[in-house]
Amino acid sequence: MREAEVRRESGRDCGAMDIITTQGLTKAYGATRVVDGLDLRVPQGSVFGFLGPNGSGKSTTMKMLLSLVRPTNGSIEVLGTPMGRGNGDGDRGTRRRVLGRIGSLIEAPSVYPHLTGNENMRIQQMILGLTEAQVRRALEIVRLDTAGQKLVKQYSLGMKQRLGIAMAIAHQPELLILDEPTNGLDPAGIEEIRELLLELAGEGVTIMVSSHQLAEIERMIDTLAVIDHGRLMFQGTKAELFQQATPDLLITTDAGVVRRRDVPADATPYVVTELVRAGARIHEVRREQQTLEDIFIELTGRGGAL
Amino acid sequence: MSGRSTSLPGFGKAVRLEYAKMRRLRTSLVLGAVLLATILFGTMQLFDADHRARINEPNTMHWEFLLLTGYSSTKALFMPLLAAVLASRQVDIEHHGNGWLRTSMFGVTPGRLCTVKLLALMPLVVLSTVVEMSVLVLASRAAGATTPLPWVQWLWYGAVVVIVTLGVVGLHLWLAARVESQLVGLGVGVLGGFLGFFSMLMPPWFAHLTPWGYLAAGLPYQLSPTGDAPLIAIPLPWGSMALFCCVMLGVLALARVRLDRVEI
Repeated sequence: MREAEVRRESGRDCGAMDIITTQGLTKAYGATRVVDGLDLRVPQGSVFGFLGPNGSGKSTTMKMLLSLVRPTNGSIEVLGTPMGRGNGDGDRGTRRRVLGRIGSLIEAPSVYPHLTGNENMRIQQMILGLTEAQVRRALEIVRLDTAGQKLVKQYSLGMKQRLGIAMAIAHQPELLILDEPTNGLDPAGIEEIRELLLELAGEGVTIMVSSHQLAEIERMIDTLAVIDHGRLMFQGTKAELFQQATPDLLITTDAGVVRRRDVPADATPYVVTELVRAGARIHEVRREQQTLEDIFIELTGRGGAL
Repeated sequence: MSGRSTSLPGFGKAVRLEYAKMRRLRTSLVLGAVLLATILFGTMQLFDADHRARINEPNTMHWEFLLLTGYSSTKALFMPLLAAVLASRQVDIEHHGNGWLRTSMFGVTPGRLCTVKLLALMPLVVLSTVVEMSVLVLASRAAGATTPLPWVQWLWYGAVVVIVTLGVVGLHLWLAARVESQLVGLGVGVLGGFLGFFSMLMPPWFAHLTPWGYLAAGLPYQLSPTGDAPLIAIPLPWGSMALFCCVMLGVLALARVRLDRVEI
C-alpha cells in the first residue's frame, strides 16, 4: 500500500475528527428544495468523494460550505468552527479566518483570461499575502511554471484547470474543496491531478472532491457521499458502499454469459438448480463486484452523463 | 504553515488589485480617445478665423461660450458612452473570469467590489477632466485670448463634470454587474448621450430628471433673457448639485446592498 494511503488509513483508524459537519442543511429557492436536510460528515485527512447526478445539489452544497450561498436551514461546521448565518462583524471575521484555511475550485477556474498565468498568480499573491516561494511551488506542482508568460485565454482547458488548482493550493490550505477538478483534462492530465491530490492527502490535507468521472474518482477517494435531488443517499467508506451492494451473479452457459443483479447469496443454488432443470449446461458460476458507477445508478436511478 | 492573510483587504490594497487587473484592458486608450475627441470638438470655434479675430472683444464672451457651448455640450455627448465603456471593461472581466466567486471567497462581496472599481476609476476621471479643461485654456491662449479666465466658474464646472461622471460610472458599474450582456450598458450609454445633450436645450427642470442632465443643470451660465449680453453668469447651482449628490449616493448605496445580496 502506498505511503500516502497508509497515512490516511492510520488517521481514520485513530478516529480522526470530522473536518466538515452539516446538520439538516437545506437550501430552498421558492418551493424547490435544492438541498434537503443534508447531514454530511467529512473525516479529517480523507479524500472525500461527493457524488451526484447533474442538478442534485452538489455545487450548491459546496457553495454553502464556503459561505457563498446562505442556507435556508440547518447548520454547518468547518474546521471546528460554526459557519453562522449571522451578519455581525464577529461572524464575518470568523468565517474569513476559516476560509483562509481552505482552498477551493468551484464550477470553473477563477482566472482572468486577459492576464497571463503569472499575473493571475500575482493577484492571488497580493490578496493572500503569499511568498514568492509559495507561488513558485504551486505552479511547479501543477506543471505550469514554464507557461506562466502566456495569456490565460491561450491556455487549453486543462491548463486553465491546473491554474485554478494552483491558486487553490498556493497558500497550503488544510482543506481543499474541488468541484470537478478533472473537467476537460485528458487521461494524462487526470492521472496527474489524481497523483497530486493523493500526495496532498498524504501530507494531511483533507480533500472534498466532486466529479462526473466515477471511474477516476473511485481510484482516489476513500470515503464518499452520494446525493440525489438534494438528499443524502449514502455516506461512508468505499468498503461500506461495496458491502451494501450485492455482487452480480455471472453464470457461463453454452448460450453465453448470463448476468443477474440483486441475487442474494442464499438464492444462488436455487438459480443454478433451475437453470440445470431447464436444460442449460453450466460451465462457470461466479460473483463479480459491481463498479461504483453500477452502484451509483442503482442508488440514484440515473446514469450516463451525470 | 498556511501563509494566507485572513483580514479583509483594505480599500487601498483593493484599489491596487484593480489596477493590476486593468492590464491590457486598454482603459488608457479609451480615455485618451474620448479625451482627444472632447478637446477637438470643444475647440472647434478656435478654428474659425473670424472668432479668433474677435476673441478678446467683450461681446464675444469667449471663455463663457467655450464652457457653455464648447466643453459642456461635448461632455454631454461623450461622457455617458465613456462611462458605459469604462464600467463595462471593468466588470466584464469578472463575468468571464469567475471573479465574483473568487473575491467573495475572501469576503469581498460584489457590491464592495464595484465600489472599489469606482474608487479605482476616480483618479482617471479627475485626471482626464483636468487635462481636457487645461488643454482648452491653453489652446485659447495660443489662439490669442488674453482676457482673464473666470476661474471660479471653470473650477466649479470641472467639479460638476467629475461628480456627475463618477455618479454615472457608478450606475453603469451596477448595471454591468447585474446584466451580463454588456450591450445593454452600452445602449444605455448612447441613450444617456442623447438625453444629456438635449438637456442643454431644454428648460432647467428637464435637466434634473436624469443623471446625464446634471451636466446642464450644473452650468454656471445661462442665456440672457434681455439683449444686454448673450450669456449671464448665474449663482453657482449648489442646490442642483447637492440634490444630485444626495440622490446618487442613496441610489448607489441601495445598488450596493442589492448586489451584495446576489448569490454567486
